[in-house]
Amino acid sequence: MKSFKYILALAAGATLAVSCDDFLEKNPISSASEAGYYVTSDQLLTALPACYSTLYDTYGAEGLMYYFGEIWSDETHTDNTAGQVGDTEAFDTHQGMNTSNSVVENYWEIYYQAIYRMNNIIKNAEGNDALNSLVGEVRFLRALYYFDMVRMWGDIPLVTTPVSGSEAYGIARSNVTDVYAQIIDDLNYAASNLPDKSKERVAGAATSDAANALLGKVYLTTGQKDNAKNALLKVYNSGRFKLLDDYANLWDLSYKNSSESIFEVQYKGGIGNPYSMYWALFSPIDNRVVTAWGGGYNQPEDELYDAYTTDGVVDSRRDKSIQVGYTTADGKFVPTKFTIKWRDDNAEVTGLREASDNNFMILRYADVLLMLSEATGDVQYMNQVQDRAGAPRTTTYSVEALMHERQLEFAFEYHRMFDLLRLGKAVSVLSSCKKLGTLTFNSDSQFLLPIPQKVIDQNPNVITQNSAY
Amino acid sequence: MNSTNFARKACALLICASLSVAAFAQTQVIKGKIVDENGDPLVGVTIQEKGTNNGTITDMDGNYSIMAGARSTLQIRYVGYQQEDIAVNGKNIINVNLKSELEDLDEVVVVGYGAVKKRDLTGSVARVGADKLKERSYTNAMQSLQGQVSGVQITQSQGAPGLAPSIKVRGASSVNAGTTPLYVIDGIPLEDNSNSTGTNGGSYDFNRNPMNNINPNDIESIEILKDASSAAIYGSRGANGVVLITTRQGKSGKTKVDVNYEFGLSKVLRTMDMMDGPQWIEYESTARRNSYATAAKTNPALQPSASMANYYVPDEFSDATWLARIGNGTDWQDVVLRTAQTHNAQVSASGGNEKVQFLISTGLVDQDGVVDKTRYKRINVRSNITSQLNKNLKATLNLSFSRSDKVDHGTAGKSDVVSLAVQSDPIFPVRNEVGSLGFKDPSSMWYTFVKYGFQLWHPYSLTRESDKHKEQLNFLGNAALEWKVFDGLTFKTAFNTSIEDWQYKYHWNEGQDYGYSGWVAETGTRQHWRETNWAWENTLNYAKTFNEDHFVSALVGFTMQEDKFEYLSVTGAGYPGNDLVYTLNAATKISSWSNNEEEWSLASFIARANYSYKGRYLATASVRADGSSRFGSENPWGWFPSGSLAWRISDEPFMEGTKGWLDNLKLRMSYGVTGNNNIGNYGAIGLLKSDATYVENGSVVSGMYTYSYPASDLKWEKTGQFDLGLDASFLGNRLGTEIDYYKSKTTDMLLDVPIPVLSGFTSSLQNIGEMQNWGMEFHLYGQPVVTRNFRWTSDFNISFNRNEVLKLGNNDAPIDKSWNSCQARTSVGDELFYYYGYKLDGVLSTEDINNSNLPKWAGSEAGDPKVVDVDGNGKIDSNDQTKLGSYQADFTWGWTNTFTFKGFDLTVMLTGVQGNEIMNQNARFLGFYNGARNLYASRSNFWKSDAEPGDGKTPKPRTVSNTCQQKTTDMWIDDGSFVRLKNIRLGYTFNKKVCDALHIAGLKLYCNLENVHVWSDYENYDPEGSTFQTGAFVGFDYGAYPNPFTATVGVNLSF
Repeated sequence: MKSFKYILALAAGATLAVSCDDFLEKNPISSASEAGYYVTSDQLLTALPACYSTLYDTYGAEGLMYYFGEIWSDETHTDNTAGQVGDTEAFDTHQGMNTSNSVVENYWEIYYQAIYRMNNIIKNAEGNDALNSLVGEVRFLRALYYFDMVRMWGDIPLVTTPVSGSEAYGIARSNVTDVYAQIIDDLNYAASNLPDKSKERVAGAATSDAANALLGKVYLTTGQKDNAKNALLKVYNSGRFKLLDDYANLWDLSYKNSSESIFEVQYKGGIGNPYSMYWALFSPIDNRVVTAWGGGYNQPEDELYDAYTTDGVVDSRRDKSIQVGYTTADGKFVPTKFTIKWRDDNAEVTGLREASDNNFMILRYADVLLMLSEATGDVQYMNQVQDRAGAPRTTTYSVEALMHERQLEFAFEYHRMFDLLRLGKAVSVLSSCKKLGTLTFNSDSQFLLPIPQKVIDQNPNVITQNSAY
Repeated sequence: MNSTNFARKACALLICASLSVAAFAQTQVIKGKIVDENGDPLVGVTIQEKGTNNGTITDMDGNYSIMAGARSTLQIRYVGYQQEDIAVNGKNIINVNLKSELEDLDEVVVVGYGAVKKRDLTGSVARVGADKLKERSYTNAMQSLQGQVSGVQITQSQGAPGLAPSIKVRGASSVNAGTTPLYVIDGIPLEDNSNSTGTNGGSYDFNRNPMNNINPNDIESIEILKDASSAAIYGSRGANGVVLITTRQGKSGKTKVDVNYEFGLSKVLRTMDMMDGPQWIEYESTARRNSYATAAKTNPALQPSASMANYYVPDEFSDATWLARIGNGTDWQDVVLRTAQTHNAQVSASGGNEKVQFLISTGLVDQDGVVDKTRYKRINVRSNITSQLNKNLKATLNLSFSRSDKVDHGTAGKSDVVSLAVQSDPIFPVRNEVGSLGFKDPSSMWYTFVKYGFQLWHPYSLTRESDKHKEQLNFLGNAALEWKVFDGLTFKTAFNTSIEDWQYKYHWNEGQDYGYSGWVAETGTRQHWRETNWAWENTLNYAKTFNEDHFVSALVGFTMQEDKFEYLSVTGAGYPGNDLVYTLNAATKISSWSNNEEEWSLASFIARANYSYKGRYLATASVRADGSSRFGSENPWGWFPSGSLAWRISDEPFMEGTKGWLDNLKLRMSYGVTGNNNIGNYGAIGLLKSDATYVENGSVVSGMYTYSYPASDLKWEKTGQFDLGLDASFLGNRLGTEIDYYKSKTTDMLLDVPIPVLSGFTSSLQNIGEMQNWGMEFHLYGQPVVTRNFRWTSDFNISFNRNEVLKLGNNDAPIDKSWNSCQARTSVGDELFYYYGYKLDGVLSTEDINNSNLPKWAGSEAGDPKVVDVDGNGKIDSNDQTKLGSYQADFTWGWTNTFTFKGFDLTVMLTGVQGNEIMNQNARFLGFYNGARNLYASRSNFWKSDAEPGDGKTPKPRTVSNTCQQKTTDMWIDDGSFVRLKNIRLGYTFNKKVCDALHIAGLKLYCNLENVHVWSDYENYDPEGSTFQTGAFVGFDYGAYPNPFTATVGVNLSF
């Protein structure tokens, strides 16, 4: 009995000796904990690429900017594999767009996840003047994302600092005006804190020039033409940009980040890299000749093709933008129009898709020139774009002429729907286009996307729906 | 033959006996013969002088001889027979006719960290012994339990060889934490982390059931702790029930050698009825014509050309030569399915003496699957040794090793061969005229169909143009030392370890002989997984009876367990394209890779006390404290108490009058709290990722971001369960029943609560939900007919479970999960994960289309589905989605009948599930026009016009349609009820005379039929089919591997 007591004491002692706290503390091995991160400048810098990488989603070949800028407009359509329909086709047909559209919901989340990452950097960099340029890049991106969002959804929740899950429930949609005020504030900060293009941190990084060009577009969109002119002239007068001589070179892989490029999404071709898929997906569906497979996305409407011809004269940009068909392996010609802007014949193929090297230009100098004409009514700027294309000069400014020029210049580049809305032509053009048949529209509010039902369900008393849904 | 040996033993026994009973004055030799009800001698029956260690066993002829006191009582015990206590009263010859029994109240039932007699059980524990397990032919012992245990739903969701069934004890108690029980194999607690589908074959959380590597032949018993009071001793891992596995140990006595060999053939009897060539051609052509008509409405100038896959009817479909060439076409099921062979050989030897007992065994399974090329090979080796080191010390060492090699196809659902085969168009031949597999071979005349967007995933392009192996090594080791400190007090320390190590090897040939949907370059993958787990368990057990009537026992213990896994996956590309070398060194590029290492630890204190008074009033209380590395820093320890009471009414003096017909009547009542710690290893910590990469100066730079919402207050889910049970048996066990009612409530339920993404996250892990389960279990058993030569034994069980979610996150927002367009929703007031989508009410007629008051899906035409305006707001929108059914069954049941006649025994088993629905994800493609795929033959009866509306529910085909085609509708929901003739087994046991003549101890021949027939309306292979084994998508059948009919013949030989 005595020995038993000793044993018990021994067992108890051994038990206590094993420090449970140590034994029970298991830190992640293959991931790092966020506790204590985002403190030093170096740490914050490593978080910056995660803000840019959202561009791959939103401006990718299947991004929301594609769906809204092109497919939602009259300019292009998607050739689906037979029977493969659903939420993406609602953009194509303007039928069945509803509050549970998965594309819309998905991008709502992608945007706000990016906004969170950026707010997190901005907050942690606060008070550190050495990081002004980093914050400038982040605020440029935040402005770009909010600008894209406010144009697609209208009023949106505006968050400018990290919020917790419980705080998020209290945040309602902000008025469009307030959102634009924030965008302009961000861009002004970026314009004054970022280096210009000649001193860019790295190719593709945001610059003060990009901030000014975007500011011009924001001002145009909000009807502030003088402000737009001032911002755009900063770019125009800088002398840092010029149009490439040959329009086709804009997408040539050897002309990445060219003198015409102001803000450009950076890709790297090849399996395992962040490659682009514009070429794989914008080629004719299931062609298996032009590309390994062919996505059938962003296929031009005949009206676009025909728009290049004025009084029998064909604009040179047509055949640099569009190919009218291809020949199959068994020698048959398939007449189907598709864009060749992002051609990349040497791309590696993975899973039947080209892992392409093509970048995507969000802002280029031709846009600045056309915006300057839009802001000033002065045709001299748009004439420069026309000269490059060898097209006849417009002599008297008109919205129609500008719109026509923008379509020829920026076809397939996700501008169309935004241009139509900004220039007040969306209702008329979409009501009469061939693609949408007998559908008619009467208000720009019909072109806003729905707030995802999930967002409203989570927060029913705070978040409202757009009037069209 | 063994007379000298026997004599020596008998002598030894005599000496022992005389020593031990020296205190007693009068001893005498007692002899006799023990036989069964048929008069056949029983070998190895234990005869023991009551209250002493003096004992012997019967010889080959059932004879025994023992020196015992003239006034003593002999206890005669034999497994499977009722114990007889016979007073010697001076007799020299005592012959006994032992009665077999159905439910032995003295049967020892293993419970957590101990064992009790069945009569003393206070909780709800189901026991299945080796005798029952032996009667089935499966590679995973859990499969043998299907339909046999009330309250335990075992579903063979896929029939691939080597694939575990899914097991659910008393309904699911969790949304996000696991719902699989804890397995404790010879004391080693192992979690079943199965979570996903077999996507990509090597998905590491697929089919992780720890029983996969245990040879069923090595198992002595399986106990399932169903109620929370029994499972609470496993604390934070007990909420989904606990399965205790005890492996066999040798018994002292003559060495026994068992040899068993089985040969089986499997075949899918229940195939799907798919369209043949002409049916499909008509359907496909109509789809193209219909969509052209739609397009022409807005664009009358449109002229279909061959390149317009959506509108153009192939010229070949009106070409007599081509139609003749196509003929009836190919049923791709005939190509992918086959008759498969199984060999299963088992050898074991067991025996020992008073000091050392051993069991060694080996088993070999070589099983082909019914899907082309699928195969499972496994070899098991086990050695169990128990040694009485001295009077007070006993050591046990159990070691088991297994190695398996699995070729798995068809279990991943989407994009795997079972679903793809039936989606493939029937017009194509198995091989084209140039000998290659597919029509995409440019040198073949069939290449002409490429332009039409047709579909062929030739089964061989997956099964024969690939090389796919999962090679697994498993080790389980268990060393224990038991020290009898003094009478009644035992200290036990055990060290357990398990190692699971597997490699997945995959190579896909260049181009797949044109058999796949596209031409894919040669590729190869290697995955490696290693998980090591150790546990150290220390318990102190005290048991004593005071004043005859008061029995007290107590247990205290301390345990530690640690687990670590590492996973590596590498996929190579840029192979030379000649399929010469499969390993990754032939690749020139790594196209994807991943590497992950995680670990967890658990430290626990346990305590339990039992008290019983005269065996009539029984009480048990236990508590476990678990500290887990998975819990957040704010809740390091969880406490799990339980208490239970039982009252053996039949032992009450006032029940004396019922003794003639009532054997046992016991009332049980318990309450316990269990937890579920299957919440991921690092859920409490906000984690960074660096994979948000961007390109800078042509280089890829990584971008850091936080991807999981930190939840430092994260803790285990808690389930409190009340159980009320009644056990009764009548007429000498001719009839018995066990009835249980339970109600459980899960609180602090872990939810991935959707939060506004403005926070940067779409969801956060919170212990916020509540859910309840309640149910009834009935088990009825008996022997309706017992005669000298014939006996009919019947065993029926039926279980009802109801599940209701009581509380979710903020605003009780429903939780939606979707898998390839198929949606499941969880909302308050309903069961977990019900199917959620649109209701259809037949097909729209022209009149419906013209009726502007009838809400319709935008873009609907006559012949399209009529969607029900559920909310009645006059338009069809996402608010019209509603509950369409769920996988939760109304009840499940099993009924086993065994007939024995002389040496023959025949078992017939029926199982059934009633009132559940299946998400027929196959119907996304097979039930509705989708991308020129093949369909169910019944869809030929589609809407053609108002005058020819077909079956009234099949819409007209359209290649381009923007109606509800890709939304969850009740067209994808099928009734999952079924009745299955699960098993027929006929055996013949040779009698002793034959065995003696052959100089063997026993010989049995048998024939076993599994899955003989299923009565069900389900359109796919099997109403148990589910691509997922656990989680939100259980019941989603995306082309589950069919459960075949299997016929086995076997021979069982013992020496």
